[in-house]
Amino acid sequence: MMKTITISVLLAAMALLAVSPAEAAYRPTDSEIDPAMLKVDEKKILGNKIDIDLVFLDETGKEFTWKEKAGRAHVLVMSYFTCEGACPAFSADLADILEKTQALGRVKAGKDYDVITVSFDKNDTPKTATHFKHMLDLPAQLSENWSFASLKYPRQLKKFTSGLDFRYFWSFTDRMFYHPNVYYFISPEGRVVRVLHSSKVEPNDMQLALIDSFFNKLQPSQVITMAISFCYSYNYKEGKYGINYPLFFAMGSLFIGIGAFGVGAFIVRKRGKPKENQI
Amino acid sequence: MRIKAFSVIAGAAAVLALAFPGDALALNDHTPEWDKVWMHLLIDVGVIGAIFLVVSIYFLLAYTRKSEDEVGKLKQMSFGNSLAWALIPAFIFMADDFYLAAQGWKLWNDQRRVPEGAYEIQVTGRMWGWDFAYPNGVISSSDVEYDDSGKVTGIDGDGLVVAQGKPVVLRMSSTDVVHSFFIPDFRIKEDLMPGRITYLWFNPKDAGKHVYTCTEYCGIDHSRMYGNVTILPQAEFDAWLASQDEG
Amino acid sequence: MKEWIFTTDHKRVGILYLIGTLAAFAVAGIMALAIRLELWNVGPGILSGPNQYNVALYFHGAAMILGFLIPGLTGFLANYLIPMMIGAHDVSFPRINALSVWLYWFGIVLALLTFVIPNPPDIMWTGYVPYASQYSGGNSAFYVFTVHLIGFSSILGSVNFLCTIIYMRAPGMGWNQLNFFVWTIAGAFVIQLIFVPVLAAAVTLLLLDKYFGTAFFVPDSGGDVLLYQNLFWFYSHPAVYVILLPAVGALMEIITTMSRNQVFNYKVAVYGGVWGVVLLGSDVWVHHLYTSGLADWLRIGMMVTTLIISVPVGLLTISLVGSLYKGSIQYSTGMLYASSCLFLILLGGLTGIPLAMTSLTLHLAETYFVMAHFHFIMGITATFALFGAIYHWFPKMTGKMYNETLGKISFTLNFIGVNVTFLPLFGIGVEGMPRRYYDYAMFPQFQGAQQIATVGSFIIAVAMALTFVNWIHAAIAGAPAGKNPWGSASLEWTHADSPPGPGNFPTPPTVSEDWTPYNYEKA
Ligand code: HEM
Ligand SMILES: [Cu+2]
Ligand SMILES: [Cu+2]
Repeated sequence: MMKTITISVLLAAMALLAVSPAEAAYRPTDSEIDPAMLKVDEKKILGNKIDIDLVFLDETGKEFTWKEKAGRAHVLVMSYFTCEGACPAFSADLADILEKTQALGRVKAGKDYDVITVSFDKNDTPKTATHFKHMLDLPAQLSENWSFASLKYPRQLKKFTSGLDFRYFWSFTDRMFYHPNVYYFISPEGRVVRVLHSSKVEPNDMQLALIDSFFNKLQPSQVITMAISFCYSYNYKEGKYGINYPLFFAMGSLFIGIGAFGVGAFIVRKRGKPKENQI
Repeated sequence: MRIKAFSVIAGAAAVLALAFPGDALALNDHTPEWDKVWMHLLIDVGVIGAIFLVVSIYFLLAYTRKSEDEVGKLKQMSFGNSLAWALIPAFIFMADDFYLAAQGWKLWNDQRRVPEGAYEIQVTGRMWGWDFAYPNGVISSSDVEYDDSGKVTGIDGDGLVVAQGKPVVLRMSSTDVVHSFFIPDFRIKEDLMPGRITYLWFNPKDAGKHVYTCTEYCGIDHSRMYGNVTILPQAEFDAWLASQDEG
Repeated sequence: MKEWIFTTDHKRVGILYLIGTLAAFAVAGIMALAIRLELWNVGPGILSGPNQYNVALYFHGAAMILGFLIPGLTGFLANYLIPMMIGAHDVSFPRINALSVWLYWFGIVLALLTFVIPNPPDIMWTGYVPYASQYSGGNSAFYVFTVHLIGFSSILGSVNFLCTIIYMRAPGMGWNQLNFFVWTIAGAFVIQLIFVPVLAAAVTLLLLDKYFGTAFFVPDSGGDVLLYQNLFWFYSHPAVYVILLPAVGALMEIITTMSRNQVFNYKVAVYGGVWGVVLLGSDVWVHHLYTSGLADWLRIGMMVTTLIISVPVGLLTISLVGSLYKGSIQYSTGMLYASSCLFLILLGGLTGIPLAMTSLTLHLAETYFVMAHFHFIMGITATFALFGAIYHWFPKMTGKMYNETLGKISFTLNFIGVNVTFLPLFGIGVEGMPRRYYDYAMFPQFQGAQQIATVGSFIIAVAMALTFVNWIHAAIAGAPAGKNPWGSASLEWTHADSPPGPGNFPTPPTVSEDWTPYNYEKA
């Protein structure tokens, strides 16, 4: 019974995909993937705001909108909860990186940010979410601050994913979804601040992206955090952070003049009492 | 001279203030508020300036040299006097600074806090024109056209069209160099950069047309990077947006 | 000729600076006239197009600041006056001093090459990336090398003069007996010493980006365009105090001498005013970036520091005005320039207050209001201070007297000219006229004000021409001026001839405990 429903919904989804011209190009006639499709155009979506009217259900079945999430930065991950391969692995990776990031000592889940996984599968429910979360077996602190949500009205999915430039399709041959594996960093105002492709993320990048996402909310006590963020700058082409060299050159150059003065003063003193009176 | 200077400025500000009567607003509309803070500031610096100027002119006229061997009679100040002449003015300046800062701070919050549910338009600056992307995907542009002699002949594209009575938030970035989006009538500007997002908001209360223009030097056609904000009643705006969709 | 080229005498080095700065001022001034003519009416005007306009404006801005005001005040005035004021026979490193002036001259020549090279720079004196590094068709390298040469020259000058002031004062001269001008120069050179290298670093990276394919400021490859702006203003805001402080110092010397008075509240003006400006001046640069997209809290923070700068600047102004109190004022041309500055510094300084407020600047930034503001404070106040100083020390430098009547006529014209030129620009600035505009087709209603400004600029041109004629004529055929025509109590007047010979003083001065350069009662 369950299975027939699932299949018919999937077929319906397929039909929808087929009629929507934008998605037509990606219709899975074979299992070859167009890699461009799995890319998220970061620059295009930066600053996009998550629709605050969309209603989500978390894994406990509680309703919420992004309005209630405002005030806290988020790492947003798109998954589907019946996935048995990539998604759980990808989430486990994230948990791992977040643990390592926390060990760097600057950002803390639950204090500076929360994590949220949103399903892009129309069939996901709080029940599948609970199962998925359970299987992940997250460390306690992350688990508390990581919710697994599905949309209350799945037909609004497009509204949610298009703002994130998130495209995905169901492959019949492989019986799974193909979709990009990226982390979205959402500011406390609900806007996209940064997108990192999961394959390249190191704890340092994760930390910097998180700081970027709540940069406007930094407290005076977090000056070191802020300073760290100034020391790096983001490289769009590579999707990674790099050292902000000009800043170091400039700070280094601050010593040139002072050093020159030191040399000058040293020479004058060595000359002994100036001969100014002899003319 | 100085009175003239400030009357020129005050006059200009007054003209602008008349164009935007500051009636009560439901949302903290920052445009008329700007004019109010500006007026306060003119009075404030006008008073300080007048005091300094009157004293200077009096000294310059009163203490001219009376005889060839006359010398100035300014005495070395006692420690207490000298300290008083440092602390009292410092205190007065600081007090005024904080008064102005407080006024500016309030206005600043209104300027930077985007009202809930503002209509969002994506602005892209490029050498040398503007693109405005609407939530439904429509893109409206503006490019200034000029003839061989360099004389401006018109503007291609509708530019920024918004609905009357609904706050608009502009989310901006640039595809090439730094530009800056400035609507003088709404007293706002902010730079657009490649790789970063900036924003502005304003409240188009009345239907009408206003100039927007680029205010960060961006090369040869920097002065020809302008267009019009057209504010239409909601129905007309909807019709305009729909007509764009078809096109 | 040869003795001028190989000179290491601080007075001749000073004169060489003076010639360079006046040349830069003249050419940049002619560019200003071209700009003003172009703006006479809406639409294209006398220039061949926007590119020519942008090049002229680039040259005007860069030459006025890097070639005229900074070297005029810290090169010419400091060189000529500092050693004499402190009773020294020369600077600590005379040969390095000579090197400084020639580096500066090469910088000027490079800047002047703007007019002969193909594709001259059009990046404005701010050289913002990525326009200057990736998009401009002009040879930004000329801008960068000009900054390098003049910057290097400044650093050498800073070391030299700070050492001179610290180690070469006349026997017996304590810190509180220094001329006020000496203090302002010390403050200015401390700023130069610390901050010039930052500007040099920023423009060097710009150069590498443009010609060597690096990506320091390319956003796609990890660069940050905002960082350039921060670095640029990190130097260039303090740089306005490099201009303002010596200008105030020169005004103070003229005012005290011509009213035979001491400096009002000397210690407060020195330790609170001068050093207050130096200290606070390094924490306010973001007021140039109020609309650049920096974090909101940063803008608010620097609004507060910027407003607080009004305290030391206010103390300096009070001392300028106070030094007239119970004075015995004689109006020479130099003193007329100095007196007018008491008005001009108010107009320039007080119009800076709205620009310190983030919220008002959201409208005012990058408009003619800003343009008029900085012209009043440096294009006019500091420039008038420098011209007043040239008049004031003219008898000392040449031993001859200029024509006082012609001096006063040209001053009057100049004063009228600057107000006619720049007051209307405040008005249209508030109404939204953006700066750096070749054309203003969107604001045809501003044409009237633009035309008044253009007329004013030609009044200034006439006044400047008369001034130059006066100086040149007097230098050749002026009446002998005598050792101390103004009856000053400062060492360069009381102990040195006009013009001073090699080594400055026939007998090296030693000063007593109650000596000050302002002690007229004793003198
Ligand atoms: C003597 C008469 C002067 C006139 C008529 C004049 C005129 C102008 C005009 C019209 C502009 C702006 C044009 C535009 O934004 O499109 C300008 C810009 C400027 N002027 Fe002057 N100016 C004069 C003197 C000075 C002086 C003495 C300084 C000295 C330090 C100066 C420094 C500048 C600077 C830094 C700019 C900005 C350049 C830029 O935007 O990059 N000017 N001037
Ligand atoms: Cu522009
Ligand atoms: Cu500044």
